[in-house]
Amino acid sequence: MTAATEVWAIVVAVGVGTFCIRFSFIYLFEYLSEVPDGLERALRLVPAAVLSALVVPAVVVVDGSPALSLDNGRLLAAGAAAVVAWRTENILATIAVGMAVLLGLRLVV
Amino acid sequence: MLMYSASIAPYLRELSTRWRAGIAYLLTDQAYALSVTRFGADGTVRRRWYYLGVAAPLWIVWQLCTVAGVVVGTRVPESLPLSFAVPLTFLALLLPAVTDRAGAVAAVVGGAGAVLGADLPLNLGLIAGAVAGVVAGVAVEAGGDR
Repeated sequence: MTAATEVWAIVVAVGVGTFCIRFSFIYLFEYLSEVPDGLERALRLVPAAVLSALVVPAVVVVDGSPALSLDNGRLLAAGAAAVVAWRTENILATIAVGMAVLLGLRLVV
Repeated sequence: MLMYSASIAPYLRELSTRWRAGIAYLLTDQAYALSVTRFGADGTVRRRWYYLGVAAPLWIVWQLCTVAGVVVGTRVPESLPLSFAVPLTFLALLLPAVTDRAGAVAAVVGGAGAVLGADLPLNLGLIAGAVAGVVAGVAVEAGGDR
């Protein structure tokens, strides 16, 4: 195999793999006659848990360790963005305010 | 993605396999978060069309931006913290997803768990945190019933 076909084979394999992961439960749930009550309640909590698990480390962890001081501009920026998200539920405004605060802090410090 | 798939699956059971395969192909963090929040709050929404309206534009913009990134990516100054925009989108989606006490507990435990596990390889901290959050939320819900 040449290098190019090898790369393409990997691209296709990764693509098929990621599709299978995404399709897994969406496909399998067809075979449940009904979704058990407890499972449904647990699954309803997934968005809050996953999104928080994505956001909090991205804000708090700097260079591999938690940084909870004001030196970490991301804390203030995320705080301001959270207020905007809560008040307006506007995604663009949230991003704009968060980025503006972070950039502003870098210019000041 | 496995958790997203499981979490959105109950809402899509009545759709054909072909539709569900297409939905799985277009599944991204943002398409998932917006749709599942809406499906949970509004039982009357026409799910396949709502999902398509969210996911298809995302897919198109994603492709275009990938090309743009390949072409001009190296010329964007290092000092511009563009990577911070990604958690900000998740933050904007997180707050509407927290609708009750169990959800708040799931979010707090999920976030704290992911920070504690930040050193783990393969993004396991994210998975461990998310699972811990769901477990904690379920426990709080069960406690509240009594």
